[in-house]
Amino acid sequence: MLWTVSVCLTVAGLIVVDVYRGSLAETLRLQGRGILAADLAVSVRRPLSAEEFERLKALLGPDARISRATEMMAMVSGPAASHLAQLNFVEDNYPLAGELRIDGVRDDTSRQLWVAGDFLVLTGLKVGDDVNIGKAKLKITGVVAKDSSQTFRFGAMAPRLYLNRRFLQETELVQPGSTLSDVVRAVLPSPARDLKQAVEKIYPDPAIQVSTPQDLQQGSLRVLGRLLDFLGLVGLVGLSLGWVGIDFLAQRWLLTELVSVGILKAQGLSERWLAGYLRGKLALILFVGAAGGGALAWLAANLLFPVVRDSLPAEFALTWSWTSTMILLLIGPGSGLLLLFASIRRAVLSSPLALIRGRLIYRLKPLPIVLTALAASSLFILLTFLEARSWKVTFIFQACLIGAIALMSGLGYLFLSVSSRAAKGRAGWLGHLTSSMWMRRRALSLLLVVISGMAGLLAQLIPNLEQTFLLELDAPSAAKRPALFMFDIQDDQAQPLEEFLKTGGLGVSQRAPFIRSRITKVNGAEFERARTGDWATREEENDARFRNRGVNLSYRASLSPYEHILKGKAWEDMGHTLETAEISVEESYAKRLGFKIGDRVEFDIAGTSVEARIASLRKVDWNSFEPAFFIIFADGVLNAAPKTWIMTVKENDNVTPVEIQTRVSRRFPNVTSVNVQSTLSGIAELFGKLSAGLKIAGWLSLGLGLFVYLIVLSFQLASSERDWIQLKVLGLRTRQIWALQLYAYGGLCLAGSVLGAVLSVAMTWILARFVFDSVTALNWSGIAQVLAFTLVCVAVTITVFTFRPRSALRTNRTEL
Amino acid sequence: MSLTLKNVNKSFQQGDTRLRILQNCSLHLETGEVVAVLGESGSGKSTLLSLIAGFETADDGEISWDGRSTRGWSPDQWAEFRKGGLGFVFQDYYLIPYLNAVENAALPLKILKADGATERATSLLGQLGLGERATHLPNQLSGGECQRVGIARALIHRPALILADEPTGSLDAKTGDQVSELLFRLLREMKQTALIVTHSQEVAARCDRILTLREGRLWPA
Repeated sequence: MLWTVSVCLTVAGLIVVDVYRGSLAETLRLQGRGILAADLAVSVRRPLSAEEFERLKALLGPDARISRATEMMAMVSGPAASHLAQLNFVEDNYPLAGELRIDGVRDDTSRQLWVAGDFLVLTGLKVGDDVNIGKAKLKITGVVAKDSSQTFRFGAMAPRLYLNRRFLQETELVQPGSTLSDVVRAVLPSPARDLKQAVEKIYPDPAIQVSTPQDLQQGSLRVLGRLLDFLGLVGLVGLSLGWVGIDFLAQRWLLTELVSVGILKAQGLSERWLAGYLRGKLALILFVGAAGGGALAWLAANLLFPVVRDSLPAEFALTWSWTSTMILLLIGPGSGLLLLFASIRRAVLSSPLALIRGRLIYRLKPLPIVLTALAASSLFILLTFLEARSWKVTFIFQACLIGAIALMSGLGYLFLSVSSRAAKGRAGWLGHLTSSMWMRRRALSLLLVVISGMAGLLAQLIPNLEQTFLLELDAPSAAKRPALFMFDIQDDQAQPLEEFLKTGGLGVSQRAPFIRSRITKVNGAEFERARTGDWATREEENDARFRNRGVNLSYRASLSPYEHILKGKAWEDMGHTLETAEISVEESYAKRLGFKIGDRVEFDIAGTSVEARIASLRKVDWNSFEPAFFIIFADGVLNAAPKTWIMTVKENDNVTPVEIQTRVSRRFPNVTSVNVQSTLSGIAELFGKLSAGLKIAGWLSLGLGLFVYLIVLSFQLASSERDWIQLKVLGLRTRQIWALQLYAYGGLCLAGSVLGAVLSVAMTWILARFVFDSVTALNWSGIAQVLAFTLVCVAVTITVFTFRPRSALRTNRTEL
Repeated sequence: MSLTLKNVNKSFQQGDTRLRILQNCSLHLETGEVVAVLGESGSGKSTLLSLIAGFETADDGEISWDGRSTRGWSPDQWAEFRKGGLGFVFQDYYLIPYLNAVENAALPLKILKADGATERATSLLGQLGLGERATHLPNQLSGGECQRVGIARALIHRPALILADEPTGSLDAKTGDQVSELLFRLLREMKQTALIVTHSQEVAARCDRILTLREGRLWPA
């Protein structure tokens, strides 16, 4: 019963995280068509040409139902105020899949506008009011009651508005260089995946992105992708801890069975029968434990749901996935039986007398041990893949674990040698006893160091990664930020707009030209990834998307106060010669793409090829909310290129950002402005909710780590029970024995945990750098908490663990 | 140091039944006396040793050392007493597996922080014929050798009383005889008081007195 409960608790901690992760993925799968509003969506961040559309239509075939849309941010002005909105110019047949439910009139002939409920709250407008969008005047005729395309869309910058695409031209919002997405959606009679490959092969322009509902499941939504990555990693950590826990539980169970196996063997039962008996019994315990763990995980997931509800999309529903079942069966009965294969064989081949005395004396040949180890490793790799769903993550995680174990063994050995030598001469008989225990039971001591180190490493990895993700998700403080961030300012509007603002007593903080481009070649080699129609891994696809999505350029005569040169030529020395221009590249962008100083980069700017040499690397303060770019040119080369402008407006105590927005949108209706303060507070609220979810996942992992730690430690204490009894018989007081145990085990556990902490820092950096493309941030308080927990855990376990000296006087006893 | 047990009772609850193990059990051991206790399995021999060593508490009755009652002794007082006053020889030797023979034998002296522990242990092991095996770990020694180390550990600090629980119970007849011979030779040489629980008539025959534990009481054999 105790074994079953322990197995149950071990797998429950692991599965509860997997249930959430699986449910998120399943919700995404079920909502995939609704989110995309189609089977296939082709989008491009520029107006799609008529020729491109016709080709696409021909490719999709006559049976495909097609709907076009143009999506962009723009200001919407009511009688009193203006507000930024996300405009969706859609055709009458939108959506082709999913649901767009409108409360109000849905009359396609009127000049109607459907708005999200929060737009009315923000602007004070109501259904029936007229608004200006660019040069067009429309009437709000309905409120969006349900929009399946918004599932999993966290933290939108502005409320979403729907209007008919026939008004697009009338608004005159589409100007040269305007920021917009042209989207063609289709519902298809045949699977979209095949067609996606066909579309990707035909369109040479890598800026054209083709999406299917399956793409969404692979985490193409950034915040969701991060959430899934984090939960996946918590799952992996849980898996590793669960693996250790199940192994120790199973080994300890076997020791308690030795006496009965010895007796049965002495009764004449065959080795085969005994092996079957042990494996059957173990399988039953592990199966019942795993099934109970699954049920407990499901219960815990449901109980946790109200707490994490705010971190999840409204459509989220808890579902049990087949991978959870697989993991449950493989980590429970699967891993337990495999890990104990050799030990059970040793048990049934040992002599009955040895077994009755609780000893395994039979030595196996190396081959079965090697085969078992190989099979166990393969199973662990398979389980890791099931959890990670990515071979790259699987191998990086495995490599990190193997590296960490090897390193910990080496460092642990060094620690044992040095500290036992130091203790021997100085710490009296206690030191002598401890150092003898450490050095003469080297394998066991090292195992405890490595296990504590692994538990510590894995448990501390989560707080560190949580911190890393939170840093990435971190909403910057609203202090000292501009009031407004304006974009889509036409070239001929930049100067008049600045003057308009000045006339109104408002100051421009920064003004920067904005030029769209694509990188075509780097040092003569093709830069963009050719579309093969299918990507081998998610990482490969992400890399291709990153390269192919184009890059926005700017130029300036001097650096802004929010950036500084890290390496290379000073800004003042940059310029251009007849042959080539010089550019400065943001450092993380350069690192990601492998750019270095001196590289020659070729850009395609509105069909014109421009070559530039990387002269410097820059650091940019992205949190400033001032215009910043990955690549900037020195003043000169790009001055004549087609461009729009970005401008930030300083805060003004006398005018609210909303008032400024209203004034600007009346005079310059095509200019889009973002209220920085309100956007930041919205993002802060969202990330607060998300971080609560991440923290709960982290605590679950920590809880599992500590539980496994208890299992390992109690195993170690139990296996030395005879020694403690003997010391008690020799006259040691209970507290002296506790002190000795603390000294011996606490020392090993603490050494392991400290090693684990150090390695967790290294592993966080590796995972952040190579898997998540993120910046490392460490949770020092989390590390301190785990170390403190470890010590408390050791102390409590030692105190709780009791033994009876009288058992030394009983002839019928079992050696553990 | 003399040991006296007077009308000691001890019972255990097993399910609904109260098992009365010792009933008005009395015993007196004079300094230097070696007494054997015989008895069937389950007669209460282990319980008797546990009470004398302070591992269990008597329900009632009196256990005293040199006339000093142990009633009300705290676990710490018992631990202090065991440290210098008792030496144990177990059927299963009970050696610390990561200490070698001489370290195991010297352990009581080290706990008492006595000088020359290792030298005295080496000398004692030499008397027991283990001079060559002094640096071997328990798993490198035979059963008889382990028990000889156990005897050395029990005697090294010259305790007031040696409690031996089936000292030859795990050994074959020949080795058992050898170990028994060595044990009694040392007990006599060192004038040690000892209480030996055994099933072996040969071991019992070497003792000064033989008692039988029957129906919860000790009877002269």
